[in-house]
Amino acid sequence: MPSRSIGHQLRWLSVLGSGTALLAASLALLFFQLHEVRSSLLRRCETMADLIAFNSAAAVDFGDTEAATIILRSLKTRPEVISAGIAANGRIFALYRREQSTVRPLNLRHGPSGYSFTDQDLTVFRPISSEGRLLGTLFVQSDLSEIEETWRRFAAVTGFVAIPALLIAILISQLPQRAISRPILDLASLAASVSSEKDYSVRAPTVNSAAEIEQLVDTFNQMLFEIQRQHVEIQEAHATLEQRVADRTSELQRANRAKDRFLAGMSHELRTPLNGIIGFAEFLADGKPGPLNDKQKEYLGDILNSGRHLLHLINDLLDLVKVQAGKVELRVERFSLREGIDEVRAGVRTIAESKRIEVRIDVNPELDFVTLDRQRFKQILFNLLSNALKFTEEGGHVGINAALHGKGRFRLAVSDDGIGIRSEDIGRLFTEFEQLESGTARRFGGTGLGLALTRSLVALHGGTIDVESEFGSGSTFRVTLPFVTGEHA
Amino acid sequence: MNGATILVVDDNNTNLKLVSDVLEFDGYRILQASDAEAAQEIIKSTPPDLILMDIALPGMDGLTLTRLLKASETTRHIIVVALTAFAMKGDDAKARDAGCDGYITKPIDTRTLPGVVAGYLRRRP
Repeated sequence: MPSRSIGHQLRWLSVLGSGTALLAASLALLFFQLHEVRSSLLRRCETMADLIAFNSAAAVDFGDTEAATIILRSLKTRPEVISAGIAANGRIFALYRREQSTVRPLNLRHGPSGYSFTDQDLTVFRPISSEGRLLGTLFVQSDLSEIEETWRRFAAVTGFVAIPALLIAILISQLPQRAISRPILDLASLAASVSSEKDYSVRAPTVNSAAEIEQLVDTFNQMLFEIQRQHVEIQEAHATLEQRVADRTSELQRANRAKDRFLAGMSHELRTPLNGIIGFAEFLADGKPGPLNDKQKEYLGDILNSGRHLLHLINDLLDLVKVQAGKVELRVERFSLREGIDEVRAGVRTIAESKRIEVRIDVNPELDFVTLDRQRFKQILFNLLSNALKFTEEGGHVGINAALHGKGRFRLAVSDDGIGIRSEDIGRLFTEFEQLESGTARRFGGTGLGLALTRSLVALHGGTIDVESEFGSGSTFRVTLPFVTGEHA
Repeated sequence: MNGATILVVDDNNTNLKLVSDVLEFDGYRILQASDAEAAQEIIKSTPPDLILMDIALPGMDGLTLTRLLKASETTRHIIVVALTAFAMKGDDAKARDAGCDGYITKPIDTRTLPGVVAGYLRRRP
């Protein structure tokens, strides 16, 4: 059941109240009047009956029907009397009938005085007696026109007075009801608009109404004031916070840019003298300026190895900074996956052969051309492959496996049977400068940047990298890449 | 092709010396300049067949000098090969736009440099 408005409820309450009051008053009046009319009718009929019974006693005693009839006919002056009669010795002794009236057969009887009301008439019975002897019975039958008249008057009063009075009462009831419901409705619509417009500066106008309503309006306004105050406070706090975040962000961005610039500049500056070192060492080692003895050749080789390692480190560092700063743009091209893999293997052949490690390649024949940044792809595979070779003991095995992996993707797995990785170390494997065990780095070389860089390059292609390893028996690094970068399946 | 004259422009003396010595060993005639202004003087007096041009130079940079040379009727024929720093994004494109005939990425590989230079000289019309 839908809830009804206060106005509606108040209106009905008011109508019900005044209607009930009016009805109760009218009914009380009606019953009082009916009682009065009835009593008065009965009293009159009884008086008449008493009088006639007394007057006709002699006529009945002497059997003078004519005299008795004359006495009865005196009732002609009473219009309400329908009929009257005297019964004596079991027969009708005398009878009076009002004109145009039909007399119901009366069950004449002797007996004590009494009366009987039916819904049509009133009949009063009186014994006729003389000196203690019962001579007969008198009855006077009266119609109930007076009572009917009372009903009619009541209907008229109800129709012409009570119903208009009720309507007037309803109209009057609207006034205080408006004074109560109007401000509440106004308040409700104001609350709705405040809630939708978020304008907390509006106030409900003060009203002349019931004390409770005025209190409601006041409280509502106080609440609005409080909300407005808090709203302003929150906005100010929010603005301050936003400003702080913006300041902090631009500060961080400035610092980050400065760091990137510094690292890029530093790498460049470090590389310039290194290029000289490597270049001259190479030139000398090639014996072009003149012949060298074995020791000199050996030391020049050491200079070259150290220099190249340092250069590799610097290049990785610069690369990582650039990838992480989002400054690397992929140069995608279509190339044969098998060819790319072979090229990378060729690049590590010297190391593999020096450690007598067999590098097996297994490429799914369904895999042919891919569209990726060829150089970066080779860099990814080179990093994984040189890691595998680095951590595999002499005479071990390294495998490269490429297979379809889901829609539009392939998986490149590089596995070895080297020292493996402890499970607790796997998590920080792809973090910068986290080469496992400080001794390992010294033993196997490497920059500690390779896997972090590899992960960044894989992510740049929209791929993923993970590792599966058992300590002591080898590791498998798996890279999943799309066939076509930029079209993620 | 040995015997061709090559001007090496680089503000880093070690690099200048390395490139010069490597090419000289292969029989080229070498001219040296450590900035664009000195290079202009040399080009005026002894026009080289090929210039190995470092891009980052103090004062006028290598690309500006290349544009000047390529704009002039008398120097347009000189082959200009830019020396660009490794992984400096977009340097190759900038070099081409300035009119360079090619570029070599630093660090210089002393074993391949003579061959690369010979290749550029062979392409000369």
